[in-house]
Amino acid sequence: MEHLFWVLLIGAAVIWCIVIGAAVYAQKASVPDREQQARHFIVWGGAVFPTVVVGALLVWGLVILKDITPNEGDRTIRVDGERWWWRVVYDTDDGPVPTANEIRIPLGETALFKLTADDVIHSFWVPSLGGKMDMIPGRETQLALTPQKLGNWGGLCAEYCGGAHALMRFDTVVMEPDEFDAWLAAQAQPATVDPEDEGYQVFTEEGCGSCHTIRGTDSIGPVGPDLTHFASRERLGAGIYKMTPDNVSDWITDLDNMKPDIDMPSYPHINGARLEALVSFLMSLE
Amino acid sequence: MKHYLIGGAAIAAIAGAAFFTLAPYNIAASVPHFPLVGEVLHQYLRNAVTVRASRIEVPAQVDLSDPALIRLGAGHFATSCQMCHGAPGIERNPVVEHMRPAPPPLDGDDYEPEEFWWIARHGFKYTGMPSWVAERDDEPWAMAAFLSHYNDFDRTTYEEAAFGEAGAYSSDAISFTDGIPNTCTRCHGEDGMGRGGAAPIVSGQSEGYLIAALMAYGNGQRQSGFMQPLAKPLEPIERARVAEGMAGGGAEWNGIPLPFGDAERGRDLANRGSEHEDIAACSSCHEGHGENGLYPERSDVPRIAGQHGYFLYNWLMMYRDGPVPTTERAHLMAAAAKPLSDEDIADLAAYYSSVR
Repeated sequence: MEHLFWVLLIGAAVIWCIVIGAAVYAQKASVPDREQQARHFIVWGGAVFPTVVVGALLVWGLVILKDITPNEGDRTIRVDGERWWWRVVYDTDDGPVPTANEIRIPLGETALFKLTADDVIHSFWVPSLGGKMDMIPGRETQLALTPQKLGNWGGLCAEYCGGAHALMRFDTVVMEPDEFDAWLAAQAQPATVDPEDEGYQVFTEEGCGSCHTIRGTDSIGPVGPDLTHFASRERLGAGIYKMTPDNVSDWITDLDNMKPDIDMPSYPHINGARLEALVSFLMSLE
Repeated sequence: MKHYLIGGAAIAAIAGAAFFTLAPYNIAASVPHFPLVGEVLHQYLRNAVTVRASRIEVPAQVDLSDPALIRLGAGHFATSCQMCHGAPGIERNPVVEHMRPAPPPLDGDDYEPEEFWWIARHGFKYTGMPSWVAERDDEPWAMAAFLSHYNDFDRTTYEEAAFGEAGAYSSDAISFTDGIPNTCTRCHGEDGMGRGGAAPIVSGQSEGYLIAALMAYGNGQRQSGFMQPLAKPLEPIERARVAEGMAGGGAEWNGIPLPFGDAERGRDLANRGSEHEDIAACSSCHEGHGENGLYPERSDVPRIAGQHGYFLYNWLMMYRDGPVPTTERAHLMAAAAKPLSDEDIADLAAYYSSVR
């Protein structure tokens, strides 16, 4: 793909120079007024040459496109667009590993994303890593990304999908392969929760488990993001707030301001010691 | 020409102002209308009801010949209507006979059930007939059910239906001691089991929940044409006494299943929710504790397992379509009800009403 870029850049520069040069020559020099010569110039320079060049570039582009939309990768990651967050599932040999709103991929490997949408059309886009791909309800689209650099490359929804569309983001963290393997193995583990934990008591009492799953507990709600390793994510609320206790606390009690329009209701009546216990429980889900 | 117009308009204005100020038309209730005026007004009222009720349909969950629904209507009739309209075998009070128009006795009225619903829901201007206390479209169907069967009742059977052990209803479960106002037991039953579906089961709900519900009905945070008139006058001490008497009953909840809806699918939805439909698992808040795990963990969350299907259905509709209560945690239930389709609501109500 980088070759294509340089060929386009240099080719465009050369053609631009020729065109400008011809224009300057036509102004300055006294060119004999010969119709035959002018016709040849227009046919070859204005029709044949561009057709051949653009046609060749198209063929080359299609060949490259085949490389970036393969049917297989080194691993498969399923991403389901929801209003307004991302349900992420890693398919591994030991079964699916669900997480949400954060994608981690190993350096140099090709990750094949299988993209679906739960409600309306979304679009999956990590600008630094590649093109965008629409997520369409009732269909599965694919996108392969092969990261070349370590780092956190932000991603976002690139198709307007309703109220909180602008707050539908995610982190794309490119890791060293061995670090990635360790991370994925940790994500596959259920959470270790003491059923007597005060914060977990608040979690179940308030009915959080009717929408959220914490693997390894009785909370198996399928509606919202999986919270099994909630605190291991860099950000909160689909890539929009730093994962800090204060932000988590605000998220629970003041959701209408943190991310308006979303389906999760706000819990302003949780306060004091109960709120503290709940937040520190959530921050312990690493 | 122009002068005549101006002069005519001035005379009309002065005459109008004089009529308005000196009020020569006698509005005294003691004096009859001029001939035909009363008849015309009454016929207009009938026409208005016919027109407005013509597009109303009896909802799926309402069975107008359901004895329980008729009992509920009779109970509310005794609370709110009898004082003006009289009741089967009970004459109107002479006081109301001197209203103009006087509230009619209802033994001769040949309204359709949909028309009874419309009248109970909306009332009449200029007559003293109030509209339904709450913005609830489901509740007045009980009045339509009772009033459609009004002439089947005599004084004894009416009083049985409204106050006592009526029809097939019998109670072999617990009974409350003194102190529960008759206004509660007439619909919820001596044993708090809801008189065979006439009213929700309250025996066995937590005391905290019952107090909170009575407060919410009393201050209008939760709307109900049945409950608001009865809950509003209660003093805190009375609320506490009622809740204490009604709570913690040991009888098995024997909810009357909703006659439609897929209980199997309802069970699945209730316990696992639905990822695609964004439906939360009901059981997470409403079940999992107490005897057989049928009780909620929090005391301000109601038990629903084994409740009468008719009320579960209406409540889910209410939380989805309004009026949503304005109590502290009601918005959570509204968020849970928002994604439900009519079918989901029927299935959930069918399931929870059949849980034992």
